[in-house]
Amino acid sequence: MSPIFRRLIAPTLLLSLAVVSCGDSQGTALRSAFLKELAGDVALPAYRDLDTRTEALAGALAALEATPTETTLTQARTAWREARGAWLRQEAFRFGPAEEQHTSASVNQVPSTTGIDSLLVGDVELTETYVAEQGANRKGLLAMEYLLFDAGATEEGSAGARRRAYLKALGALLHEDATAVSTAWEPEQGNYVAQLSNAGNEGSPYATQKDAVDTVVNRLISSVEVTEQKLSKPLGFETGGTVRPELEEARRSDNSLEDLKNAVLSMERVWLGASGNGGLSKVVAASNKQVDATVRGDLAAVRSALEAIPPPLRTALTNDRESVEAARAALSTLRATLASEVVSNLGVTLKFNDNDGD
Amino acid sequence: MATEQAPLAPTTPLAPTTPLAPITPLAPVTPLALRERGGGEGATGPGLPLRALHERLTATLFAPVDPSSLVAYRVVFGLLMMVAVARFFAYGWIHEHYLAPKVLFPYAGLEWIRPWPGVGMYVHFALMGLGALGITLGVAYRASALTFLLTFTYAHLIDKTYYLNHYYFISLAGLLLVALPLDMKGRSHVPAWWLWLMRAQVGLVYFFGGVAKLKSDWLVHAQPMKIWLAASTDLPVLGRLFEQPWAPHAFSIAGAVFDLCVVPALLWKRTRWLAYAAVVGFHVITRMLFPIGMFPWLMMAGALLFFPPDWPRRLASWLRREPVKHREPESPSLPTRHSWLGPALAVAFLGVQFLLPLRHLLYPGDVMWTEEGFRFSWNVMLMEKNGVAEFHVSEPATGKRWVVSPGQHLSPYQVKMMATQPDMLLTFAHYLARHFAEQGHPGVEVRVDAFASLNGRPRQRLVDPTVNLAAVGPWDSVHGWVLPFREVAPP
Repeated sequence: MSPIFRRLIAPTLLLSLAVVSCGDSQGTALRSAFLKELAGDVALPAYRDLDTRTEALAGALAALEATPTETTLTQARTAWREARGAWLRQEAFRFGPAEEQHTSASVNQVPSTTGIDSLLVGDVELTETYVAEQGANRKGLLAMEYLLFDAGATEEGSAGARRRAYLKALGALLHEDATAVSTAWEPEQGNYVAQLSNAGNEGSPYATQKDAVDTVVNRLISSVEVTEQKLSKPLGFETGGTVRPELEEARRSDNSLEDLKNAVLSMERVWLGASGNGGLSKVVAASNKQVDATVRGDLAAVRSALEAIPPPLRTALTNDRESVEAARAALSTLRATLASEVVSNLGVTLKFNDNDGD
Repeated sequence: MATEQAPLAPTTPLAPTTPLAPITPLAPVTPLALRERGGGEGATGPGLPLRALHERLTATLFAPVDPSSLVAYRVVFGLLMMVAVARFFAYGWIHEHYLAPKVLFPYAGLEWIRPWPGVGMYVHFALMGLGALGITLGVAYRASALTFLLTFTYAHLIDKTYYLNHYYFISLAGLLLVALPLDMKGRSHVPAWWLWLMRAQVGLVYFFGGVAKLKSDWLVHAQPMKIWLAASTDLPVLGRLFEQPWAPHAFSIAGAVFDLCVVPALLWKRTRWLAYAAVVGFHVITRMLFPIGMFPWLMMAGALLFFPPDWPRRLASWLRREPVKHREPESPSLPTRHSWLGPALAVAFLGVQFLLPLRHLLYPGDVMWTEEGFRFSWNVMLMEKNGVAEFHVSEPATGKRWVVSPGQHLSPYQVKMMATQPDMLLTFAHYLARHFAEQGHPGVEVRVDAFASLNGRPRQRLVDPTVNLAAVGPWDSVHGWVLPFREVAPP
């Protein structure tokens, strides 16, 4: 060993020890507080709410099946809208249990109307067990919408009865899915709240806090992109500019604009926290206030652009196309800020795959 | 522990016994006389005779050296490459990189390099693995090394999305392994220039890695180090260090100094161990911060080449508690004119590599923004650049217009990589023009809304949104459609 090396070892070690034993850990504390807040104050209440509202929906659909009247139909439709809202309000943080359980595939699949119709005209009793065996595009909230927001929902006779039995089964299955996710987050059960809050510690699926923050940011960006597509597609952006109303997601219930606003609410909760004064915003602002201000401005612009669309979206697509395009553009701007400036400032690894870097 | 030892053949017979005939007053030396004696043009006098330089160079380059360190490097390189190939199979990258994508981003002029159909790419990587095994074992060495080189390089020229500096290094090192018969059949020693060539190859990575860091972002603003360290403050022990306000500056400066100084420090006996400890520390920390695959191990193995060439032999003897066994070099023959072909090619090989990282100086604009001359230049872990791109396709004849999200055609990783690299944006624009023509819309115009954020700055528009990229050729200058970088201080 060279003399220089020998002489440098001791001072280097001493310096290192001195350095690591002093100073605070603001960044770690900020991220820890953010993850704890997201898990306990944002995600957990959202999944509890989803569980409650899907339970209410299942009850309303059972009541409709038992007593098919305009009153029970209205109650069921209202319950559907509320459950739908609860589902959309977790879009921006749908990772962890919901991702592992593929909840989105069973809850929010674009329905196969021909597949659903074939079940309605069939002879097999539409029990919960039988419906559970069906493909994802015959189940979930959008299949329910197809069945519920149709004049046949209260019609008499076998066809109406089969429709309502199908709806009742779908309601029960939806509630099961929601309960499964909620249970996984519950501190007394799956306790994903602790797994996310304690990122970087033993027992957490996230080896580091960075892994957890990466997951949150990637999911947030993905949710903005999906929301943007919910306007791009019916606007005909993918089809030469011709409006495609059939590509509007919740057109049968005219709930699309509410869907979008609820999805934006979930984004706001990730960024601003449950109280409106925390969230990822605090983490970003600690190193770059300008980026935080940009995101806040972008979120506000998205919300006002959505509010400016005269409902329902179905008619706005043709009668007030500019307002719909403006909302899409606002979402596009938000996505650009998140995917460039936020990702850069947080050092987020976009989780596209696990390929090596340099 | 190995230590520096005296050259194996300090007075090699390669050096002529009377290289410098004493100049006596009885034999006055004129420039003409010098030339006649082989001194050559340009000699300025008896103090700097070119013949003497030539002879010293000959003695230095062709001195027989112990091949142990080169052979050890060959074995470790082969083992690392076997692991690299295994990772491609294990992580599903063969399918993900070569079979799943609908669109590829070939290098200009190399569009003919495409994935093999069917199971071809799996066979391709299996052959690559066999090549690596042959390199490790020294079995069918030349054929193995050539197989590895060709299969590896071919695979990584298919799509520039997956360009990595260490893949480039592997191809270059692989080429040297093909050129230098390191299976050592029938040889006990190798000429010293072989060792120096490999050392130069490793050294170039560090040197240009350091040169690339000589930028204000890196040195003055400590970016992107601030971003990288802030993201990993929860790492055990080091995390606390990362949070210190001075840490990003210290790490940035240290990184640049390390890259620029590590090669001389490895070459100097008195600092060699310290330099190697720095190599290990540097690569371990970068491995903790970034997913950089085999790169740290490759460089840690490469840095061992700077130790005395017999270090593996000394290590083996130390482990066996036996005295070091040295083989006497076989009687060397005087190098012929033919013998100089190798060193001459080596100089050319290194010369090209020396110029390639500097080519960006020929192009206007910031290389980190335009990325013209960025690849094959050892810009290793240099910047934090992220962006988004959305393409607008229009058909003048009908007035139809489409907004294309690249994710509809590309893999997510391709989307990410393309968003910040202008030449890839251009390639995709050309693909869209072809795609729409196939869909019955010939002659479409393609424009892009592309934004990027460099080292934490507010995002800027990367490409002129008014330019029809379908009309821009792959060899056209980027100036005219890539917008200039507006200098704003990074956070």
